[in-house]
Order: sequence, then structure tokens, then C-alpha cells
Amino acid sequence: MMGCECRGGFFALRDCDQPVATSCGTCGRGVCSRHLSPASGFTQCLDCWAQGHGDEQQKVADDGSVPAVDRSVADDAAYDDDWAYGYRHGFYRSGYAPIYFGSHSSRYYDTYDTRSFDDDYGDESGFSEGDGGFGDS
Amino acid sequence: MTTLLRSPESLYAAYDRFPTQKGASTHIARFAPALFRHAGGGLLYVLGDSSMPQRQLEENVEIVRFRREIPNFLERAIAFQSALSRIVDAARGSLRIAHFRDPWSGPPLVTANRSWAAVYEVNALPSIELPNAFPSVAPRTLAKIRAVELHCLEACDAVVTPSRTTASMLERLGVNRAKITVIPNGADPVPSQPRPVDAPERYILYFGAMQRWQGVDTLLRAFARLTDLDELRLVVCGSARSRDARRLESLASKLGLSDRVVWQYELHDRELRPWLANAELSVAPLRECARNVEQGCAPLKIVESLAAGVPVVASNLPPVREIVTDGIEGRLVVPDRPADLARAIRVLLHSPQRREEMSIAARRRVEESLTWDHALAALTALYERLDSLPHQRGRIALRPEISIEGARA
Repeated sequence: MMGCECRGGFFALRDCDQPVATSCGTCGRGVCSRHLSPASGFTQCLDCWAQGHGDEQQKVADDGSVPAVDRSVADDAAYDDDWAYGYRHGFYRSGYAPIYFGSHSSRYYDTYDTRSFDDDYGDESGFSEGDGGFGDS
Repeated sequence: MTTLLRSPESLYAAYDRFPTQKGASTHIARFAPALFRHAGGGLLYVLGDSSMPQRQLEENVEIVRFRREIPNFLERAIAFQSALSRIVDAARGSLRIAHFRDPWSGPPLVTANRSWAAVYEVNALPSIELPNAFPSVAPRTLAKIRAVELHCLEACDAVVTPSRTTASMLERLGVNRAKITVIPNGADPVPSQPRPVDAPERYILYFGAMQRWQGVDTLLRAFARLTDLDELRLVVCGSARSRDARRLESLASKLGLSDRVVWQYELHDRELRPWLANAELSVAPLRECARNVEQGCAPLKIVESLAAGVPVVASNLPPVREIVTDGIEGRLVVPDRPADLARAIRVLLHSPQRREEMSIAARRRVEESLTWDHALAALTALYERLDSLPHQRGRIALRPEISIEGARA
């Protein structure tokens, strides 16, 4: 069984890999119970919820800076994952690229493997138009 | 846990968009229903796009499409495999047989503790083909992909391949010959077709994909040597208007062939058939490259041309010789030589009698051994043999000198 495909951390990311509880209704990734968004009614992963609502949590100024967010003591009393992932999403939009040594959801392939596939494909291949494309023709 | 609409008895997985007008799609459309018929139902897991439904239920077959758009090829393949793992978890209780086409689908289906038979259909190996698409892919990455391929080849119960050339390549990789079944691609005989209304008076045809290994540039250069045949046109029916196709259109323009080449794209099978059946010749100018010569291939375009009674002029390569005998169903020429290709086309165009004889021989060749019925009968016989194996799957190991760990170095 594959582990949860979400990533924890802020400045540097790590794979979660906890047992999968369900699939995210938006991105389809396998998600553990901790990475399901309570605010979405546990139908989305925290990343997808953050992408849909993160901007409400963390505004990015026109100059790209991220203003401080006023959080009350009461807010901090209960750790709020939805808020935290929304804040992270907004922070990354300011231009910060987190450090990450894993691959999308694989412990076998790493970023060194995947980056040579960053080029747009389809030019000289049977891999065009979004196909996996191993032709038998 | 992924929830399925029904408990599948079988599973056919392919990292290919389905359906499309490509050869891979034709293959899936034939093989997957044969699996589902044999097992009494099943699940088809393929790639899709936003224009296709993510879930479909058609009687006893559920279709699940992986539709997430991930620009990076490898990342997408990994995510595809991850989603398949969850499907396999959900299907574990009912699954009796699984059939997969690539190393992206294979690992979740060849797990050691499975209770189903696993068939690996090898049309091509990404460790060989990917450098054509991604020239900068690192040897270390290719070695990792090769290791997964070897793992799937070792852990599966049977290997199916459409070409003896590919079977030989797999044996060289260490696969036990007894595990390999060669099932050639098929085609159904094509009855005579009405001439397309916009068809040129006289034309030769190329149809299929446009990757460099197909050698369409050689065909264009050959056709540039036939411009003295005023009425002759080249019709190119591409499976997709890819950048490869635009590159070839540009080449045709540079060769002064703009008004002599007719380009068509993504024709449905029923639209392509009249173009094929009324062509003077069909051309398969495959390049002499590792992909075609060492790995092997099974060009559906050649089999489909023969089924339509259209003589073929093709490159003289081992996988082509499995289908066409030089001088019987068509002509085989030295690959990558435009002059030789042009000469063979010219000679056949000047000999209607010869073409007629080849047309009859071509149809006979397909009817005797290359129909889809032949292919599916062989596939079903393989499934039946696997049914008789014990549920606890045993591995037929690779030859001892082949080291999967070594490939990971």
C-alpha cells in the first residue's frame, strides 16, 4: 500500500507516508487522516483546500511581500491545519520555493530523475498530446 | 481507500490515453475486451483528459481514467501508478487476472503476495524509447526504469509481445523463453471502400504516428524524386498533429512538395479506411535505429494495409520481415535510403499487374494468420493456461547472470 502523498514542513518539505485513509476529492491523491482538511468536511486534502481558500488566509501584496497576519492567542490555542496550509500556500506564492528532495509520491525516483523530464514533451516522441504513448505502431 | 463501482474479476492497465486514433489505443480496444470476456468482467485503467469521463460503467466493465494533468512525464507516471495501487487495494478480494502494458502499471500488479495472475504485454520498453523523447534523461534514471522493467518481467506470470524481434530482445534481458508468448498484431479484412470525395486521382499513403523512428522524412525525400509523375500525390494521415507533424510539413515545404502532399490528422478509423483502400501503395519507411531493430516493433499500419489489400513498401527490418515477404505482399527496401525507396515505389506504380498479385497475396496473408480473431484466440488460450496455475503465484526467475540490483547502480 502506498503512503499519504502530502508533504509536511514549511521551508523544507518531507513526504508524509502515513497510511492512506481516503483519496482527495479534488486531486485524487491518497491522503492520511491528518492531511484531510476539516474545513472541507474531510473531502479534500489540506493542499487542495489551501489552494481554494488559502488566499483568504494569507494575502500577498502587490509587491510580492507577505504581510504579517494577526492571530489571536485564542487561535493559537488549538493548532489549525487548514490555516497553516493556507498560510504556507500564500507564503509560497510570494516566490519562496521550498527545499524538497523527494519525488511526487515516490521513494524510488528522486528530483534528479524527474527533472530531466521537465522539458515539454511530444517533439520527437510518441509521448505527445498527453499520451503515455508507447505505441505499437 | 478508493471505492470501485463493482468488484472487478480482471484488470487491464495501460499508461495510454484511451480511446484515441493511435495504434496503442487499437490494441487496447481489442485486448481489454478479450480479458473481460474471459474473466466475466473487469476494470480498465487508462489515461484520460478532461473531455473523457473519469468513471464509466458499461455492463460488467468499469473504466477508470487517470485525468490529472501533470506536465512532468515521470511525475505523472508515478502519480498514475500511485492511483493504480489504491485501485488494486480495493480490487484485491475479487481480482483473478491482471494484464498491464508498461512498467508504470506493473509494480502494483506483480506484488509477491497476490492471488491473481499477472500478464505483462511488452510492446516497447521505456528504458529504450524514452531517450528519443527526452534526450537529456540521465543514464542513472534509465537504469532505474530498466530495473523496474526487469522486476515486472521477473515477477509476472506471462509475457506477451507482438513481435519475435521483441521476444529475442527480452530473452537477451534474461527472460525465460517459456514465459513469452508472441501474439502478432491483427487487422480485420477491409472490404472495398468508396473513394473519398476529395481524394487525388492517384496517391500513395502513409498513415500512423510521426515520431522520427517512423522515417516519414525519408518518405518525403523519396517522394521529392517522383515529381515527374505529375498526377501522383502523397497522402499523409497522421494520428495526431504533433510538433513532429509540423516539422515534417515544414520539410515538405522546403522540398517543394507543398502542393503535392495532402495532410490529414486524427481521422477516425471509418474515415481512414476509404483513404487506405483506394491507395496505390502504403509506405512504412521505418528507420534503422535501436528502437526498431533491437527492441522490435509491430507496425499496425503494415498489417492494416495488407488487410485492405494494399501492397506495402516498407523498410527491410527484422520486425517487418515477420509480416511481409519481399516480392509477395509488397517490397522491402534498404532503410533510410530515399533513392531506394523512390525506385521501389516507381517500379510498383508502373506495374498494375504486380500490384494486383500483391494485393491478393496481402489479403490472403491476413486471413490466414493475422486477423484479430487469431490474436485474440491466442490471448484467450494464454489466459486459460494461467487459470490452471495455482493461486499462490510462483516466479520464473531471470537468468542468474542478470542482476536487477546491478541495473540500479
